[in-house]
This record gives sequence, structure tokens and C-alpha cells, in this order.
Amino acid sequence: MQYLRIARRKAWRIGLLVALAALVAPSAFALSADEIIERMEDNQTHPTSYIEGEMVITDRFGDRVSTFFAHTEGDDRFLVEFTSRDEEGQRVLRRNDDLYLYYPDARETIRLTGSALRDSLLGSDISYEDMTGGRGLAEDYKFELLGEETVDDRRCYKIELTARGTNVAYPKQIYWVDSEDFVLRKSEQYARAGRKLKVTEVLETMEQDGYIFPARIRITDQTRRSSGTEMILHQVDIGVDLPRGVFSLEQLTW
Amino acid sequence: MTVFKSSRTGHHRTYAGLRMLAVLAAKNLTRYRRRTLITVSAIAFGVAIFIGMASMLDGLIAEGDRNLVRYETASAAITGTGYWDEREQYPLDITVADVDAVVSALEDGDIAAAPRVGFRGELIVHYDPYPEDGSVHLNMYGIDPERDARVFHLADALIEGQFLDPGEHGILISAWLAERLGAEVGYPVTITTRTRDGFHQILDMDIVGIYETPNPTVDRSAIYMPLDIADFYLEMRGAVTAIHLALPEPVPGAADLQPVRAALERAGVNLTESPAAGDGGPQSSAIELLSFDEMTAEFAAAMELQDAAFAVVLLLLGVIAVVGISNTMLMAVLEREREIGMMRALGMRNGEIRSMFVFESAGIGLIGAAIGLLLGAALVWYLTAHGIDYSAVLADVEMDFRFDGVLYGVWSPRTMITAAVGAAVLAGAVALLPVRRILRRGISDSLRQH
Repeated sequence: MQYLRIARRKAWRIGLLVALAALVAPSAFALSADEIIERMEDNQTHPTSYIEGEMVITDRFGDRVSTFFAHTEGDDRFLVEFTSRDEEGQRVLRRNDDLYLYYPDARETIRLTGSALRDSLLGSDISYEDMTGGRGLAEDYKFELLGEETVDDRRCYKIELTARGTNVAYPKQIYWVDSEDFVLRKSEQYARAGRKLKVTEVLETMEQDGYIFPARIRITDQTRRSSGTEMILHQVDIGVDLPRGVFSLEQLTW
Repeated sequence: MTVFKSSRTGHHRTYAGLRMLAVLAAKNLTRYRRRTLITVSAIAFGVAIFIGMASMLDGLIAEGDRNLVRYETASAAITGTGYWDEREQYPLDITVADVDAVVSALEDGDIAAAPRVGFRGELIVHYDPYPEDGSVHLNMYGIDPERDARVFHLADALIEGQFLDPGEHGILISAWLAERLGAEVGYPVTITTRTRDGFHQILDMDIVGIYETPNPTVDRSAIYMPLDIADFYLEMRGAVTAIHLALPEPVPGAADLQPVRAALERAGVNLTESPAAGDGGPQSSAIELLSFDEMTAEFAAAMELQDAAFAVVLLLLGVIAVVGISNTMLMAVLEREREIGMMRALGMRNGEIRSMFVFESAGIGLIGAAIGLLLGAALVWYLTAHGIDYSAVLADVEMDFRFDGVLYGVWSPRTMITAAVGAAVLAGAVALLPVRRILRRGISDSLRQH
């Protein structure tokens, strides 16, 4: 009898705890869409880094590989230099909102503005405009958590991004952010008419100095059947000392 | 009185002398028949080629202007201020906002007006029904089908399918593009572009018609769709990038723009600022009226460069003709040094000898120029009637000229007369040099020549 009383009391306590937990959990542990995006961006933004990688561009003629190395600082400064034979010495410099191209053959630096930003990077599915984002998505988009979905066996938050104004290329995007490590697993970009334009899938991730970030992504243009671009990072060193003046225009032409 | 008499006598003597020299020169022309024939042929050939080349160059310019007016610019256009300078970027934010007010004002003044929205986009096609996947960046135009046909000749250039209907998701592409894409009427296409605000946009359209114009720039780079469809997908909110006008003009660039200004003024449309639009409607912006010459200033500058290149060719032709004539005359004079020596020994003055040779050369020049004029006229007749077909050579050549490969000449009486008179005068003048050289030598030296 005594045993039964103790068991009942125990069960009551457990029940109370479960009920409390159920009440408290959504407010204490659930994240808002803004917080999820913020954590994702924190994961992807490094104080400084040195990166080596390659870009595989697939079209109806086959695959093309462009190798590169890059220096980055924060989310709005980078210098990419291509090292593959066809593009050797070509550089792309981003300083805040400005993007510059350097062509070694012509020894010419071009500042990309207006419609030129819409051009494709080396014929890939990435436009120069895609390279100018990253100041913080919250500036340009409103976020709405649509729910949770599984992407490649990973539980992800599904978040809809709607453009706040007209200074962005995509009026709507959908992100799938890993609910465990807050890495972007997949994203879709939409045209104004609502048609899907691009799909970005994260095929591999990399962990370095406490940061987890996409290391191999595939971008496919949904308006084309046989094209796609894969970006693969082979080496990422975070917190490196950057070469002096690496983001200066003088260095760009050097 | 004595002075007058003497002068009259002197004048009479000079006239008789010149007549005698002219007769002598004419006799010399028949004496040296082969030489005369060769020189006359050279001059005639030079004059005829010069006239033919000039006719083709003028034809090229005329054809270019005609094709610009018929398919690209019309006689004049109203655009947002500064649009034309930026047009190669196809900006959608420099617009004519209140299109209805402008078009109504013009149509009330009996001026045909065609609003267009010009933008850049990529046309994407896929295997089946197309032979293979492909894409091409093109200039795209939203046009008001009915009004456009009153201003441009695009509707007349349709060779297959039908012209555009408002509200229809249809496009017109050129035969040149259709051939390269393997496209036929009814085939679907996907178009990617940007809205006026810069968002990505996708349009699914069908090819409803195929056109072929004599303007290769249009054929190789432009597709057309209904204006209302372009307006909807580009979110233009009723604005257009240009309103093109058809005005009476004998030749491109000669239109009087005053009726346009008057019609706009009557309707209260200010050319420096368009009427303010209501809330939510198109934003008001400054608009300007552009003449054909203003719109084609860059093209004209390019043509001027081409003109300069052609002028060099014409100059070279002229130089070759002059050198040929000089050489023949030089030989003709030098081989007659003994004769000149004889004439001097018989008391003929240097001036008279010089005049005789100038008459002789000018005579050859006149005959050559007259024959050249006839040959040139025949050449121009052929060029204007049949033209020269360069289409096979220029099939895939990128060029600024607005002609489709068949180059027609035009009649230019001024050029023809200038060429003929110039050749005759030149022929006369080039004889002076060798004669002068011989006249500097002693009479006995000349007589010793064989």
C-alpha cells in the first residue's frame, strides 16, 4: 500500500514536470525565424579567412573547372583570384557594396555597377550580384518560420524570406537551416511571378575553429535543364593574418 | 583710242593663236591614236569606278537611314530625359510616365505615335521541340501592336504566323534567330529578365510570328511582345521607355518637329516635365523630344568614320587615275621632245607650246571623262536597279551597317559631274610638268634627242 502511494506521488510529480515542460518549452527553447537566420549568419561569417577551392560549371557542353583562392574579412570584404589556366590572374574584389573585376590580359580594373552586376561569374549560375549580398539578410528581408522539414536526413527549419524593398534580386527565398548546427542546408530563390529560379543545395559541410559552414554547394538554375554550378572549398583557414592592403585597389592590379 | 585699237588687235591675235593651238592639239590627238586611246580608257575607267563607288557609299548611308527610321527610331521619339544616352543599358527607370496623355495629344494632332518598352532579357529554349537546349541574350520590346504598325514597318516584315495581339503571351522572333534556334511558330520559349524594380522575372511565351527585315541589327538582336504583357511582367505601372513618332519627311532626318511641339503644347504636355501622375500611378519624370539626327548621332559618327575610310579609297582611286594619266602624258611629251625643239626653233613661244600640250591633255581628259560619265551612269543604273548582293559574305558578320547584304546605289548628279570635270581638269594640268621640264632645256639639246 505504502509502495502504491509512493508510486502515485512519483507519477503525479512526473506528470506535473512534463506538463510544466510542455508549457514552458515553446517560449524558452523555440527560436524565432530572425534568431535562426542570425545564428546561421554567425556560422558563415568569419573574422578573417583564407580559402582555396574550385568551381565546377556544368552546361550542355560538359564540365568546366575553375580553381581559386580567396581572402575574406567579415561579411563584406573579399578578394578572389582565379588560378585555373583559362582565367589565371582574374580577380574579383568586394569592398563593402562595391565590386571590382581585374583582367590581367587587359590590365584593366572595372567597377561593376547597374546591369553589369547581373552578369554571370565565369558563365556559372552565380551572378556578381549574388556575391554582393551578406551585409545581414535582416536588412533586406523579412523572415517567417514556415515549420520544420527534413533535408538529407537533417531536421531543418524552413524559413521564408520576403524582400523588404526593391534593392534585391530575389523577391522571395526559402531557406532550410539545420536545427542542430544552424548551417544552411538548402535554399530556393524565386522570380517575381512566383516561379522557382534557382535551387542551392549544401552537399557537404566543414567544421573549423568552432564554425560549421557549407563546404560544397550545388546551384542549379531552374530555367535550364542541363546546367549547374558546384562550389567546393578544399581548404579554409579561419582567423589568419591577411596580407597588407589585400583589399586595396592598388593591390588588385598588382 | 590707239590703246583700245591695239588692245583689240592683240586680243584678236591671241584668240586666233589659241584657235590655231587648239586645232594643232586636236590633230595631235588623232596623230597618236594608240596613246590617246590608252589614256582615254584609263580616264574613263577611273571616272566610272569613282562614280560607281560614290553611288554605293551614298546608297549605303541612305539604306542605313531608311532602316533606322522603319525599324528602330522612327522619325522622332519622346523619351524620359537622358534615356537615349543610357539606352544601351536598357534602363527601366528613365521613362515616359503618362503615356496616354502624350499619345492622345499626338494623335489629336494627327501624328502617329507608338509606345515601346525596351529591355534586356535572356531567351531560353529546351530540347524538344527545339533540336537542342540553348539561350541567347536579346533586346526585347513591348509594343502596342496596332499603334506600332502605324509607325514602324515591323508588321509588314512578318513572313510566318501572325502579328501580336494584346494580352497574348506571344512573341515575334526574326527568321535569322529562328533558323539558328531551330524555332517554328507555336514553339514555347522562356524569357528571364528583371522587373523595373530589379527583381528577377520569368515569362513563359509562345512564338506567334516570324519576321524578316532588311535591318540586320534588328533581325539579330530583337524580339517583340505585346506592350501590356511587358508592362505586367516588368511592373512598369503604365510607363514606357519611348514613344516613337511617324512624321512626313522626304528623307530621314528632314521631319519638322514643330507640329509635335504644338500638339503637345495644346494638350498641356510639357516637354521638360511630364504631367504629374496620381498616387500609386506612374511617377512623373522629365521627358524630351528627340529628332532622328539626335537619335542617330552615334551611328552618324560611325558612318562618318566609314565615310572617311571610303573617301581614302576614292582618293586612292583618284591618285591611281592621276598617276596613270600623268605617266601617259609624260611619255607622250617626252617622246616628242625633238618636235618641241623643232617648234621652238621655228619661233613658237614657250607659252604657246605649253598651251598646246595643255589643250591636248585636256582634250584627252574631256573625251575620257565623257566616256567615264556614260559608263558611270550605266554602272549607277545597274546598282540602283539590281544592287550588289553581299548577303553570302555578310551572313554571320557583326556590323554597324543597317543593310541586309544587297547594296543598292543612288543617283548623285553632282558627284558624277564633279568626277568628270575633275578628271578633265586634272588631265590638262598634269601635262604642264613634263612640258616645263623640256622647255628648260636648250633648243639644240632638244633637237639632238631621238
